[in-house]
Amino acid sequence: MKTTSTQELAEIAKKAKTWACYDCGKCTATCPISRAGATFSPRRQVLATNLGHRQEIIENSALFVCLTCGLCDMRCPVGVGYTDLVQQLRQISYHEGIEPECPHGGALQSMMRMMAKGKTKQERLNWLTKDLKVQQKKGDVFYWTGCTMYYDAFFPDFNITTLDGTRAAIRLLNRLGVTPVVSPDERCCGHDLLWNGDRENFELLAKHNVKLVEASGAETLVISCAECLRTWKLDYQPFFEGSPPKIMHITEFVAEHLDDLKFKANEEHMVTYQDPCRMGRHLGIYDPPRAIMETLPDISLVEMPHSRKRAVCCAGGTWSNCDRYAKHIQVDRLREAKSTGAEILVTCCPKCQIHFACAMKDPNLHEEIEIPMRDIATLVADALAD
Amino acid sequence: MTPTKTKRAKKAKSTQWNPNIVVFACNWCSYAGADTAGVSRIQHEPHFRMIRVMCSGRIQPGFVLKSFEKGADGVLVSGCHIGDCHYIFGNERALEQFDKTKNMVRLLGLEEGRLRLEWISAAEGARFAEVINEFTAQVRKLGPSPLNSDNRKR
Amino acid sequence: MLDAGRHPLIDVISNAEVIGCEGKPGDFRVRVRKNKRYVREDLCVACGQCTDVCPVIAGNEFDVGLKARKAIYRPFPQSVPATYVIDPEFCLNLLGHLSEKQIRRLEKIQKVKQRKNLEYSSNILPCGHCTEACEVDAIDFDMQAEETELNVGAVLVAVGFQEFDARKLGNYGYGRFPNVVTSLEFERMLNASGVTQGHVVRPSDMKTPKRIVFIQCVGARGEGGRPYCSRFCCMNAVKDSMLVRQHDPEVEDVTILYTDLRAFGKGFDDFVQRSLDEKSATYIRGRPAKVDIVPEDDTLEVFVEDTLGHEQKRIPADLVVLSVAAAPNDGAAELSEILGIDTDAYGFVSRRDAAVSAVESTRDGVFVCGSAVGPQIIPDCVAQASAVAARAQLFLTGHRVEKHEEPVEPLDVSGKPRIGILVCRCGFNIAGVLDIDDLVQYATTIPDVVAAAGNTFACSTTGQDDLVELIREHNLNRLVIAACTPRTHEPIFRETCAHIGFNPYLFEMVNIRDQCSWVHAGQPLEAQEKARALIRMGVARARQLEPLHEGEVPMMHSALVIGGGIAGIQAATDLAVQGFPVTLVEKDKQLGGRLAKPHLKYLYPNMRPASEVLTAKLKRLKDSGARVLLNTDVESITGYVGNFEVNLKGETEELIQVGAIILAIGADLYDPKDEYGYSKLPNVITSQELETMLVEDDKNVEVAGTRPKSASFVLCVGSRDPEHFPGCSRYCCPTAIKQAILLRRMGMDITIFYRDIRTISTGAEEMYREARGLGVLFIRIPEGDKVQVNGTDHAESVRCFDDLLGRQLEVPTDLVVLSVGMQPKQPDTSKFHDILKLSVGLDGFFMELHPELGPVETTVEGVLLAGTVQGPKDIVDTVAQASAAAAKASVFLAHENVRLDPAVSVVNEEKCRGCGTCAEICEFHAPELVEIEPGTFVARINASLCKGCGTCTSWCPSGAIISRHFTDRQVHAMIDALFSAETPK
Repeated sequence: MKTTSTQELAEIAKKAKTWACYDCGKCTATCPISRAGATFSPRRQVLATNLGHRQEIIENSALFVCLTCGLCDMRCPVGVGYTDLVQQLRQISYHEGIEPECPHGGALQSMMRMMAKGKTKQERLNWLTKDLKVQQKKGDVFYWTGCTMYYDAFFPDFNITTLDGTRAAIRLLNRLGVTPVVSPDERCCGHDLLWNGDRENFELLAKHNVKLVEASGAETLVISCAECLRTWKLDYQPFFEGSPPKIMHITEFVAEHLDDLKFKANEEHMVTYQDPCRMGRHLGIYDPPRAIMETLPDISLVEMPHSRKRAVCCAGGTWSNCDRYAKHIQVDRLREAKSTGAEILVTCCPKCQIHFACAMKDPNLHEEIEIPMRDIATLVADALAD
Repeated sequence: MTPTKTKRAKKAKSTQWNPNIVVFACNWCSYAGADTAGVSRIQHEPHFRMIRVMCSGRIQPGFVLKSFEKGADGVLVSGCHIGDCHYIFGNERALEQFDKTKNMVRLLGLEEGRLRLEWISAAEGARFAEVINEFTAQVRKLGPSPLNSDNRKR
Repeated sequence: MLDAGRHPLIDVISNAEVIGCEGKPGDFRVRVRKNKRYVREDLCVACGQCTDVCPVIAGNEFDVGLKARKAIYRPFPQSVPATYVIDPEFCLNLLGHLSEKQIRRLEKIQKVKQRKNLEYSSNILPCGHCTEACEVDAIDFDMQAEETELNVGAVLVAVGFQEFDARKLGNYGYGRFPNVVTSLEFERMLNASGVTQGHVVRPSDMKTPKRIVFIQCVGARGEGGRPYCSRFCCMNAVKDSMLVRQHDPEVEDVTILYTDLRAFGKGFDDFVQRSLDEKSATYIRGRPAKVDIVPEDDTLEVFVEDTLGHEQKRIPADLVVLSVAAAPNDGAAELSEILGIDTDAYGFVSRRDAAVSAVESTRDGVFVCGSAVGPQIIPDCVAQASAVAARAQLFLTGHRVEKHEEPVEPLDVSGKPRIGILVCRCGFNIAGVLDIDDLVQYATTIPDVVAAAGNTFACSTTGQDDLVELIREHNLNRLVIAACTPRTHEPIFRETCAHIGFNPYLFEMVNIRDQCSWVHAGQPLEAQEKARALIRMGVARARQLEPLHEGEVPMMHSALVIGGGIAGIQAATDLAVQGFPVTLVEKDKQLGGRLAKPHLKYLYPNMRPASEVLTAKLKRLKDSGARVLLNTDVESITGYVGNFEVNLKGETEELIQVGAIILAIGADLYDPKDEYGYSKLPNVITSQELETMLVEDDKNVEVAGTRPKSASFVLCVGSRDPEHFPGCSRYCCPTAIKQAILLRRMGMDITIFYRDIRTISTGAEEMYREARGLGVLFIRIPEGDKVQVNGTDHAESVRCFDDLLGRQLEVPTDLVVLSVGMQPKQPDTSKFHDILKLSVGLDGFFMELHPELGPVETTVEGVLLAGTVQGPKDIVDTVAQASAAAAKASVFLAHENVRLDPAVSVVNEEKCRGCGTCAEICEFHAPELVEIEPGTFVARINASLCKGCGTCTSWCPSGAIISRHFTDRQVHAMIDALFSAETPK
């Protein structure tokens, strides 16, 4: 077990620019979790870091309350990188033996750590249907599936199939003439472990995955899950030996080739779009999904009052912060989505779907917050002309 | 058996690989069944460790997955027979959780034979021993779990 | 059994018999002779080392001789007391096996001992292995039978039954052919802990039989001179057929030869249906003439007529199972004489009047229950046993349970874990296999362990003293004891902890005896490794334990009985006579329910006028002092055991507080509507309408202005009908027969159309035979068929297919009586389902907690069921169940406080998402969603309702629920410890 020195804390502070903080409190005022009623202040972490109070950081359970949605980063007048700070501090905390209390009894964390250990041959690709063309080892385009098959197995009672989005993405690639590499050896990207503070297992996963993609010879890596995308685009960078492939979200890829796709008219739908935090604020990808939806015939997009940079998080994140306040945020967000008059809530992150679906199970609210959800890829794939 | 044969049998046994099995048991039936095996001195394989909870309904996927994560070669989930649950339907809930766990384990690429569900009543000491022996043999056949870090293959 | 053995108010005197009983109710002097056990109960620790060394082998009675035991033995693994016993018939040391010379020497030594008052063992005995092996010197060959006199208020007789000796029916070949076995022998084979570990074998060659034939009614319903039905055998055979198929796929055919399939209990018909669906057995209606052996291949052959296909059959069998009936116990007659109570013609204990009280013998203060009065199924036995307890309370004083303990100053347990470990040797039991010193040494290497010690018997008085010393000396705040099983010994150690103010929930038990040394004796190295791991895991768990504190809420000592029928009257009376304030509410203007005028004339089988019985009951009720509120209904109920608040409305409107509630709202009778022309034809009436007519005049019956000359009864109307009620209504067969006898005596021609005659209650089978003797015709309705009532403006005939004749029968009739079954009472059932949150079964009746273990209890503690509210039953069974409900209610009411178990689930409201999953899955309705601010719901768990199973914890999506004492952290810590590297030696 390694302990963190004051020196290291100073490094972190420097990187996250916490010294710039001038205690204005805008972050707390912005924070969705504290607005939902939790006793939580981003500023407190910043202060503890600036003062070099290791113990304060480690013992502060509020560290795991943060959604890392990045809203405060956006608003901070002096540009403190709060989200990055939390990522670093959680690693310190984790090293001291503090783990977040995991919902679902830690089952999902166990699943990720088992993948980090590797050594097993996962049954990852059983969901591939015959009509989907993929290759297993080498190719120009690598399609990153993420862990949707696990989520569907673990949440059988949620009435959502996150794999639908995965299949639809491959269908789109096929239509664009791409036979992507879909590897049975893919492992969890480690996003959640990293944000839980478990850097050790994250690195194991990162190294394996980077090697896998590099070995495929792919020049482009297409990803559906917003969290995987952030991890690949930002957190994996140090692990590439050569030059990394072009990493694109499926919407970025499709948006680039919109002219090559022909759409048919389906039933008319009014939809609204949930910007996943990882896609939006973390990576700044706002336009491609919107461009696609505008192209689709009979789909009209209505924006929620909080969209793009101001979008509200699904309050789920890393399988570690699930509580009354998270639910509060989800319910408010669903109400917001419904108030637009949209019939469908579109997103491109399986976690958003899972957490909203969980909120919709509320026995007291039902139709007040119930709204069908779709992954954007399924929307596009369904609109493809034959 | 002649003395030499016995000796050889013993030797063969000592070089055999021994699995590390986790058994989750409910207080009222399966744990009690294991006690009954004890009272009746029914000898069985010793390569398992029991974790007692009040009801099999408490045995969540996280417990089983964590056991595998840590390197368990096999996990046995056990409770009262259906209809006999001390808490009425706890074991039926356990069954639902177990199905979920099984799916996860399969996806993760662990052999299905490493995970098993058994209903054992308080009176069924002999059955408990039989289940343990069978399961131990089954896991032994599968060999060490790929996730077993010492991989004590011999 | 364990509960009874451990109960502070129950003394178990085993191996004993009653030899005298004098005195009067409330003051009996019962003389008891305690036979020689040769092992001292106060010393024996049930380690079993004596059995290991005993050289004598005898047949094991528990396994009906199919398995062996030693001369010193424990009758079966769960026996209470756990003390071993020596069988004088076989023990080499006891006189029967001594030579004359040895006996003379022994006598001489006895004399010397007596004269000089010397104490030394009789060293001439030929064997002394057990004495040598026993480390606590519990074996005492000089033990004498003891006589004691007990002063008691009431005597309960529960001597059970014994199997009919199938040898008496020579044609079935039992005793002659090895492969003819009794159902009990078969049961021991099927039992996983039985003789063959659940494998059914042919005794002759130990091979799995391919073809098994069950013969029903062996020693019952006219066989072997016994007219009564044995009640449990039909279902037992059905169950066995299912079990044997699940266990042995090699079994190809199971055939059950029956007369009537008496699946009368709750859910029994469903079970038979499952057996039919799964084809677990072939059912053939017919009693075999004989079982013969086929000498060529040593198989058996059963000669029987299939009475439905009326075809003579010879069924080949590898194994024949005789479903033997219950017969009175051999000792029952002698005991009855000693107790001064009567027995019936068959030798069972008689009851004064089962309809008045199902458990009163013919002597005041002496009660009887279970199969001592005749064959019973387990749920009825258990209900009667509780009923006995209620009735016996009348003669007892000082039955309140009060706790007077000086509060102890709690020890300071805060700060970093300071763990102490005691490793028990259990004499040789653990130490004989495991190296205790190594375990103690190993324990000290585990982080946070500050003290470790071995102990010879941790549970002994000195062991407990050592334990206290260890806690005090090392200022421990966590304790681990590695010994036997927590299931028996955790309470003992917890008590010791509590006694000195050490929070008992900071103590963890590690099972290295029952689940280690006893079962891995042949692999000491592996056992040692396992024990180390278990200790390591125990310490890891102990580190995470939290002090918990038992809560208490005061108990209201009063009860509410809802419903003033026979069940409500009985329950209210039984509770009120014990001095508990009871309120009985009845919606209607009179008490009595179905017994009251004009519903019922005579009770079967003894034709006692219902009014007479009711009058007797009402007098008892009046004398009991129960408060009766007529024309009053229950509006709402809130609260939990000990503290229910009930809102009454109607003639009396008030809010009352009670500690327990007995629900006795009864059942409805099925309304046939237009079935069998009931709504159209004036001479088609229900059995209830006929009864009302009989109340008016039991000599003449007039229907639609004329006196009928003939009548037909149709049974199972609205019963055994998947569309209405799939089960059997139990009361209709005997009721129809009773009515048929009355009408027959008026000179009518009677035909009864039946599916199975289920005359299972005492005296009913005899009544059935009487009806047949009087010339009442019985016609069996084929399976899946229905009778047809013909006639345009009135019924003229009943048509039914007859299997025997193979054609339609048309029976002309002036009157059709539809024997209607019972239905859940509506809308009352739905109403109480809502307000009490009681579970309702698939059949629509309220569900008991457990058919055998809790037949009157419900999932809601403090709410009990009495009578037909739980399912159809006749008056005798209703009365017994009502008394049982009263007894169970008094168990709650007798306590000063309701004890709240702290090891239950609690909600962290900050984490709760208010999704309601917990509330949805909890069978006990402990969690409830509460709106804490507009639009925000959180779950709260009522500690008085929570049973601590932890199922909600594992389903909570956000980890907001904590199962106290079995938290995620505690379990995860054990898993971590299990796999953490072992410290090298």
